[in-house]
Amino acid sequence: MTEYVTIARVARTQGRRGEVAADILTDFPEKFAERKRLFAQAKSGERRELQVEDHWPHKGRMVLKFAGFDSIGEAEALIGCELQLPIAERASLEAGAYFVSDLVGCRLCDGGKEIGMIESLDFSSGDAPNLKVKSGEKEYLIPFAEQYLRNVDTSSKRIEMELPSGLLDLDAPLTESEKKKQRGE
Amino acid sequence: MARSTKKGPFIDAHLMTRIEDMNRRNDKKVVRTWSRRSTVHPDMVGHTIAVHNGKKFIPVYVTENMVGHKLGEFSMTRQFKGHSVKAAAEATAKPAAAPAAAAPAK
Repeated sequence: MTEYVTIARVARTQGRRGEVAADILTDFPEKFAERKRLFAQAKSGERRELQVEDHWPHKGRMVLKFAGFDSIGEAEALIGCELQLPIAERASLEAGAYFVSDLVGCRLCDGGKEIGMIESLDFSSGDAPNLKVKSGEKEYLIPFAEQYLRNVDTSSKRIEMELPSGLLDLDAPLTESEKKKQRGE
Repeated sequence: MARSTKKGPFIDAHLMTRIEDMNRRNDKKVVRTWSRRSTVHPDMVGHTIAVHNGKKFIPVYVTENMVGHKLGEFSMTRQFKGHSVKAAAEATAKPAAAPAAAAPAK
């Protein structure tokens, strides 16, 4: 069965000729120029193929004109739809970059010992996004840094890392020596 | 008003001591700190500093681009519980590059 990836979500109609404004969910909005075919998945799960006639950016969104949608009324049927691509048509990445959707669900191992499964990524902590790794009740944050990476195999959903000591014990109580250092003794 | 350049960047002494100590030993242990006000120093590049956000420690892997910013900028104190994205979006992540000539062992 073909898997799909969402690249935009239709937010509202735009103009009078059946155009729609969509929130961009892809890191490659310039690729809309090459994409002549998109799939619209309705909230009900029903998916249909659409031919892109024209597109242009507008106020942080992408305005799209699809063939066969020539009035506001026709375009309203697309509101809320997710615009998708077959996963095989995703943009190709430079070496060392990974799709977030490929990383999510991978098992993370530290020196052969499994830590848990990647649930999501947090991009708020600087250049290295933090992998949110869930292991039972516990949740770990692991910086996705080249320095710690040993092997990334997204096909077998396994990531090998060599983590610095102390990263998995961030919630541990302070040791006596740490307390002394904290007091500046 | 900006801080006087005469004084240099502010870094809590206890944090800088620990970083310098680790650089001397060529150690990369994670440092836990509450010092969100400390400026990121070039000596910190390549280290992971766990910065407290008021609730828990957020590990921050320091890269060259972060030098000059405050540590607190990388440990968010509020969380946006936004509208969930059900389907996987075409977003990418790249591991932060290894420090080039940074964090030399003294």
